[in-house]
Amino acid sequence: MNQERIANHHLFSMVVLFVIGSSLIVGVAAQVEIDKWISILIALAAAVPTVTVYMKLLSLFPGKNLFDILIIVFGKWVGQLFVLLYTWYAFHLGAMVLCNFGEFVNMMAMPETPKIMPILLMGISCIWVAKEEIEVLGRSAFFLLPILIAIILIVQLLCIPQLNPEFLTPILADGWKPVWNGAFSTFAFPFAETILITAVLYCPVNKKAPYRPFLGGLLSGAAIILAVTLRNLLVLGATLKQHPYFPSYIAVGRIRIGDFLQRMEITVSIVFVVGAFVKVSVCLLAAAIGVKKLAGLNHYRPVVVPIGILMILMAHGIYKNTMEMVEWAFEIYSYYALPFQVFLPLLLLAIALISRHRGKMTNAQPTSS
Amino acid sequence: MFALVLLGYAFIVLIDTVPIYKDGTRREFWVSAGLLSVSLILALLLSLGIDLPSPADPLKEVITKIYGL
Amino acid sequence: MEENLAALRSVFESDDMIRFRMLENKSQRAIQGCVIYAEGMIDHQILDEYVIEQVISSDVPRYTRSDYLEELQKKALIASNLCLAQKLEKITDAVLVGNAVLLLDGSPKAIIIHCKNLKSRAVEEASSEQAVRGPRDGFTEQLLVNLSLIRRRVTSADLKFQYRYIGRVTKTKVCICYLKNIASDQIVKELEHRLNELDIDGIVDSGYIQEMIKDSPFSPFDTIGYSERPDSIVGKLLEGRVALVVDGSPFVLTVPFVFPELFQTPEDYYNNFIFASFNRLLRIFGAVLALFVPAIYVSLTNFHQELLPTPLLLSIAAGRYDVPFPTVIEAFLMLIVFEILREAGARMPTAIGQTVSIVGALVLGEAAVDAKFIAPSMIIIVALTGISALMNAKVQGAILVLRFVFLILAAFMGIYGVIFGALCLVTHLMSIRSFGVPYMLTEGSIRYEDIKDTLIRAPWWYMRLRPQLIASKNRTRMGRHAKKGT
Repeated sequence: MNQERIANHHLFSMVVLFVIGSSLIVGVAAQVEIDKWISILIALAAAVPTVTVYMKLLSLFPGKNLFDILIIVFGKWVGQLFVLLYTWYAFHLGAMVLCNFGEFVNMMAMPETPKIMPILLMGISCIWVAKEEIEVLGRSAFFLLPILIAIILIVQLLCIPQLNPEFLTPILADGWKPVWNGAFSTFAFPFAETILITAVLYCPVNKKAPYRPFLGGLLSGAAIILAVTLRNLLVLGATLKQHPYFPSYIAVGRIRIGDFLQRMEITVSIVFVVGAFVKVSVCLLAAAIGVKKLAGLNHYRPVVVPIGILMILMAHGIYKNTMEMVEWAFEIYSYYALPFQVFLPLLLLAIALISRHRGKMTNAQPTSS
Repeated sequence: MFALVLLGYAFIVLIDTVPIYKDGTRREFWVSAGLLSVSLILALLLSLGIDLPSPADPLKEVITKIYGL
Repeated sequence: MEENLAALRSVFESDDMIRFRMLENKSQRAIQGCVIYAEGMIDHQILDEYVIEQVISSDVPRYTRSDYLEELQKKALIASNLCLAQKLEKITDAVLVGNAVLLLDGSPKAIIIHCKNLKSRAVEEASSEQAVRGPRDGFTEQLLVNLSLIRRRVTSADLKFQYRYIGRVTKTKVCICYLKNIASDQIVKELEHRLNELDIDGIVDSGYIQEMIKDSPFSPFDTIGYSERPDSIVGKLLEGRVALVVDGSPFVLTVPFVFPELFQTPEDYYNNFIFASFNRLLRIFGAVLALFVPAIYVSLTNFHQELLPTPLLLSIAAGRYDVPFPTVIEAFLMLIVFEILREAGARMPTAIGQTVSIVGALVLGEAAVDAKFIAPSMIIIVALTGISALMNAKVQGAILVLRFVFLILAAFMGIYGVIFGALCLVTHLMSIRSFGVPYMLTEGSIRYEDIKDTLIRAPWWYMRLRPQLIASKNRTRMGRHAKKGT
């Protein structure tokens, strides 16, 4: 098979950047007002076991990624069907993130630039990385992570004069229902999207599954999202309702140090760009590997460019406006993604464990006598 | 716009598809050429200003029906 | 011998520089010989005293025609560097290189006397890499002189030199040097393989070889290093790298070459580690500046004015008030002009050097601003970027080209264009390899030992292990108990 492997610390950075991905741009749990941080914590509590399930799946089938496992467990025809579904999911997600990014640049940063330009630029960068295979993506993620963390830290520190702790209260003013809704949506976007990472990597033979880097990456990414969301809450508070679209951008715009540093949104733009870059690249890789499996190719490199272009085109035409995009992301997406993120992996795990158990029993009988 | 799209695609074919053809791997060539032509048609349509139907709407219908939102 | 002589004369037919000198032994008239050499290229003393005189005046107790040549070589000729040859090509090559050939009647073989005396430069300081502290000898164009400069610093039998001849017409002698117990066998084999694959007319400078055998030919970044200083080369040999010395070129190539080496100079290792670390960080910072400053300036003033503090914005705007060109065009023009100045400075005769620098400073700087062709802020940007680029000799080529790419990207998409350009640059750097070693070797690893030599230069007592992928055979640089101050 292919020799592509990534080192543990590369995987860690990739997961962190994937999880941050588009969440810092669009924000999380838009349905919830002030209690977003509770939603995030609940979603994280649900995501950790889910990710453990993903890792367990990988460890049961060493040397195989998600698509291979689907075909092994479900057989050729049903397996291919599921591969097709996951390929579509990866493709759709990539297009969505691209669209998020395009909307962001179009609306907040550079309104006069046609929307296709940022999408095109991002698409080209992601196609390039995907053509260079996953090892390069991992190394780039590892290289970029410290820079990003430094930027996020500095911005957090600079925001301190703008924080108003009283914005956090009253806690649970609207009751638990929106919080559960928010948790559900945060779980689906971005935490459990990490299923797609299992489509591009596999557990090396004779070694344990990469629990630690993956979980560590998830937790770190969640911590960053939590910190940023708290900051946005504390800076913007109740006015959040007026700015439903890109809260981070607006919150950072409020930073003002003397007369010198002000309106520093550019610095967080770097974080957005890199996060979305990693996320779209992983989606593109997953979709390309899926197509490779479906068409029976030797390598996915030849299809990366066409799939990338299709993704760009779809991102351009998928939503009519920002409102539709946000509505989709927070209300419909969680249900849409549920089978991919929860049902199918659980089903896979169940079948795999049962057949392994049965296999062990039938193997045990001849030797016992 | 139309011309630009065509130019871009010519460029892509040159640097991407031609090496695959030279490599001799037939399957990869046909799959990538097929996907690329689909995207070419879509891109040309978009550049002509035709509004393509978005897959988001039918999906939204399906999901609201299934989950009864 | 007559046929041999006839053959040689026909090979050197219209060449007046090649001389044929007939010999005859004074006691035995049957011993006839001929010495063939290229005038001006040999050391006449060796030829006259140690060869011709011996042949003419040696006493011959028994004369058997067949092995007289070997007898002569062993007993009579005093010159120290002799070898036998029979192939016509080898003999003609020997004469063309500057050695002399002795033919004897009755023997099919000839003796090649190595008595080259080619005039060349004395060993002086390397002009491209000068150091305030550190040895001042630099390589010259003679292969043997360069090899001796390396060998005298490393008195170890593990230092291996292997000769190769490259080039159909020039038959340039090159030498592969490595420390057998440290360098990776794979890399040496790969280098030999690539040199064997080379099929080219001639090698005039090591740069030819560099371009033909390097890993990513289309990348602006070098994947093969070069240096003019023996101490630098020996340092790299000790780290497990392989050096390639080319006759006729004072620049010695090193393989493999990774990204951190772009910012390293040999002086870093001789100076105080704090000062050296500071200099290294300065160089890296300078490279980043040189790449991004014009692009960031253009994107900030055109797209994201809100980021600049208001007083700064006002003064920039005031400077740009009457300027007819858009910022991007201004930046382009000034960068091109700076490059013209730089290239002119490199090419012009030193006599008019002063005049041209005054022209550059006054005319292009002051007058252009006064005539309102360009804004004064642009001059600062261009000067900053130009000087920072000159800090690192090895990355200059890459910075030059990439600078313009980033400028164009910034003109299109503001800071986002620059960020994407930077992302693509990172991707590109991460994907290239130098002889199997990933280019961004240390940036992709969290090994403590690898980081110690990249951003900063850790004190010598800390750098106990060699970089992993290059010298995996022998990683210990110094003993475990080397302590500071002892």
